[in-house]
Amino acid sequence: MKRKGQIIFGSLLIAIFVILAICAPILAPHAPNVTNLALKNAAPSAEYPLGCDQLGRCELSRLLYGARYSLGLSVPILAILSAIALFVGCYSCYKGSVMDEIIRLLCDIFMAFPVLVIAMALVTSFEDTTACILTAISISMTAWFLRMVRSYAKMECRKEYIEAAKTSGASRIRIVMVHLIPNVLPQFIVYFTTGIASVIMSISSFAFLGVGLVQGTAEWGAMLNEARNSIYSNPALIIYPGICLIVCCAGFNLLGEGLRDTIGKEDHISVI
Amino acid sequence: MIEVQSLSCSFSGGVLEKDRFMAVSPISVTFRDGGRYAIVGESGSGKTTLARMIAGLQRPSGGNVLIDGIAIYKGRYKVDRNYFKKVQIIQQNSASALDPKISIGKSIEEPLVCFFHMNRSKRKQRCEELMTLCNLPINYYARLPSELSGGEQKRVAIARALAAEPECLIFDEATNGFDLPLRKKIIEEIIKLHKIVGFTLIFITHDMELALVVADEILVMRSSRLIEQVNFSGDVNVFKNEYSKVLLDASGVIQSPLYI
Repeated sequence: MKRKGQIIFGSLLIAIFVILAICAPILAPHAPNVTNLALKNAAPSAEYPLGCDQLGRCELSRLLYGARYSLGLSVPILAILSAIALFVGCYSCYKGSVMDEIIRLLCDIFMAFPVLVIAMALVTSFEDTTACILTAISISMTAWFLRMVRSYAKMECRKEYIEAAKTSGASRIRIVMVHLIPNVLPQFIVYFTTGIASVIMSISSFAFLGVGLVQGTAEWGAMLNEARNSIYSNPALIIYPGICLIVCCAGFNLLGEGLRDTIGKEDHISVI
Repeated sequence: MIEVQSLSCSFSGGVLEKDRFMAVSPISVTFRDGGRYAIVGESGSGKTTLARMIAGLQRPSGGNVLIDGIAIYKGRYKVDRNYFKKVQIIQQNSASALDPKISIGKSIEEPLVCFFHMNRSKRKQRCEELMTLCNLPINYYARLPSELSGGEQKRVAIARALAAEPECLIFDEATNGFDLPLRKKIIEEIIKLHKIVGFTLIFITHDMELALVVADEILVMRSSRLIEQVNFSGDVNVFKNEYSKVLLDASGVIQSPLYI
């Protein structure tokens, strides 16, 4: 019962942020990047419900558009990554042989480095920093997902129904698509939702460090970074994006944990 | 006709050669078309490994299996998928032999899709025929394996194996874990199917009593070796080997010949 509440609450939080992100142009009272130095650090008013930032931009509008960055970047990236990881992980696990060993080795290598190290290495060598951090996040998330998928697929491969499907004449692709993926999917969805939270956090952390997104982007992490300068004069600026980040990630984590406890109950194994 | 030619299988237990564990010592047998065979032996005697090798699921260390004169294990190549159409095995544990996420109907239809490339309506019709043949209610079509009892799951596994229209059907411990009335029922159904469809029947069992009921040729295995092969037609005195007699004794057949 407690788990059910967690799932509903988590989904509710996610739904709120998704609606806010989609409806940002309608809901936002002002354009997020219009500066008005006359309104620098303005206090909340009817026209500017959360006041203005250090460059006189509407704080509420920037927060609403920030949701677009966080969700708009993390969800599609993760959706593509997980589709690839699911297929490659299951296929290589079922096939075994050298390819599987190489994939396992690559996963281990990339999991040994934190995202930050990969991102820094890429940023110093390439021009487009946004693409660099997204690539870095993609690489480390794929390694993590692949390893997770492989460990679950290995368990499924040992079960007799896979062998029965083989004797029923199913091809390798068919076994992977029809039998293996649907059986790995429930556990995968759990990791997918918690993965979104961690990607949102990663993107924002990079923005906070000033790596990646263009200076002045209406992104929560970037907003936090800019607000650092006015921490004494206008501390509210640092609180708002922080709350957004925490609540949004909490939504995904609550959903993920709730799902894990209901779906993974039967055969849960710990994955690094 | 399936010919087993000095088929053997060993598993490595460690790095050294002496650690190799012999699961099946070279065995040669011939299974005639339409015959009813039983491979009897205690747990660990290698009967399941032998069955898996015949079914094409376990690569042997030596020897080969010939079906209608054609060897199925060729060099390092995998067993040809079409071989599975000829020989089907029904696994010991039918609960885990069915995909938990796929309905009964779809499971039974899998060989129809993969081997015969039937279209949807034809598939469904054939599937319903098979379900009727195996005493399964047609309305089970959309159910999941978890909603069925153990006996019903076994019938689904049999229906799926029959969908491939095999020449040979191997039952690995077909009645393990069932109570007596259900065991009897399943065995009767299998024998009836054998009479209707006419496949070669190979029964793997530890139960001599069961072997006497279903088979007309009994192979006794002990610690990876085939120790006796007899044609059985109602007289238990055909068994000469001491170990076979021990198995007979243990099954209680001698005391109650009426069972046969």
